[in-house]
Amino acid sequence: MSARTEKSKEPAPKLSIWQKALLRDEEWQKDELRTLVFWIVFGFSVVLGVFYGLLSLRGLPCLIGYFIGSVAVPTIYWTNYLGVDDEDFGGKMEVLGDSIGAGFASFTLTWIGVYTAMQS
Amino acid sequence: MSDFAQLVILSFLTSAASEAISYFVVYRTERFQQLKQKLIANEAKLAEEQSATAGNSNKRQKRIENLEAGLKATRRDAQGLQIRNTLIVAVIQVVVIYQVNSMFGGRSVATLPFEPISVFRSLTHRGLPDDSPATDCSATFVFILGGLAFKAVLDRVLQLGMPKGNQLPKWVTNPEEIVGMK
Repeated sequence: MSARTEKSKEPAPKLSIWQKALLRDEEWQKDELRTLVFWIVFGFSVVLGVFYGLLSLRGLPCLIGYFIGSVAVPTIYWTNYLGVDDEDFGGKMEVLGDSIGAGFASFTLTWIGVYTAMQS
Repeated sequence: MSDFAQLVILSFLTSAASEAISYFVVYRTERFQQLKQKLIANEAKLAEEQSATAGNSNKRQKRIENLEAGLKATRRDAQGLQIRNTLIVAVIQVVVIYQVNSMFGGRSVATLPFEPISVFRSLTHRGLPDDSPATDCSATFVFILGGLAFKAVLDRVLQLGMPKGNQLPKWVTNPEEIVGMK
């Protein structure tokens, strides 16, 4: 048996969540996907909070924009880029899980903090 | 340092202290570790059974039901272990919020970029004079927001507690089943 065939029988090295996050059509476990989505929502929330604050944006439309974005951004990413069907994991809300609450708290805190700093 | 920054640091320290207490009181105990390992193993088995297609479907359904019942029992046991810890953490939170109120009471620590609806105004305006603008923000509100955010982040980074699993209620994840459409 050639060395090349031997090598092809070796199991593929286990990729970390962050390595898999950059690849398309990988197999995902529910916990892994939820962890990834948590950090995506968290990052999106902090970045949008800083952005709104720096531009001194205010009012209800900004909050509505955040809610739409915090669901749409991860959904588009896992559907269109990762090629994951959320129905395999119990639906969209099951994947988003506790990310929404933590993301909203992070967003509001960052927005208020940066907005206040810009006003003073 | 501004009041806002002080509150953010204080809420981070309180969340970290709560997590440390949880670790020493519950998470590091042998019983909790056993339950955690059991839960992780059973969740993996359940996922395997749910994705399997070969074999007798009735037997598989029975195995799935048994595994789900086992998972519920394990989570219940873990919650029993966490009761004392939950009480200690709750007392710490109450004491710190009381301290925050007495330290920053009566003054606005930030400006809200939105006008809160009346339901939340008791929180965003807690301890502030009645005639202050609606966009004034209380220290309690900043402290609670920080606590929510830092608790979630520490949970994810340290992963000391039980895996989250299916913690969302069914009316969120599968409302059709609740209203009998399925």
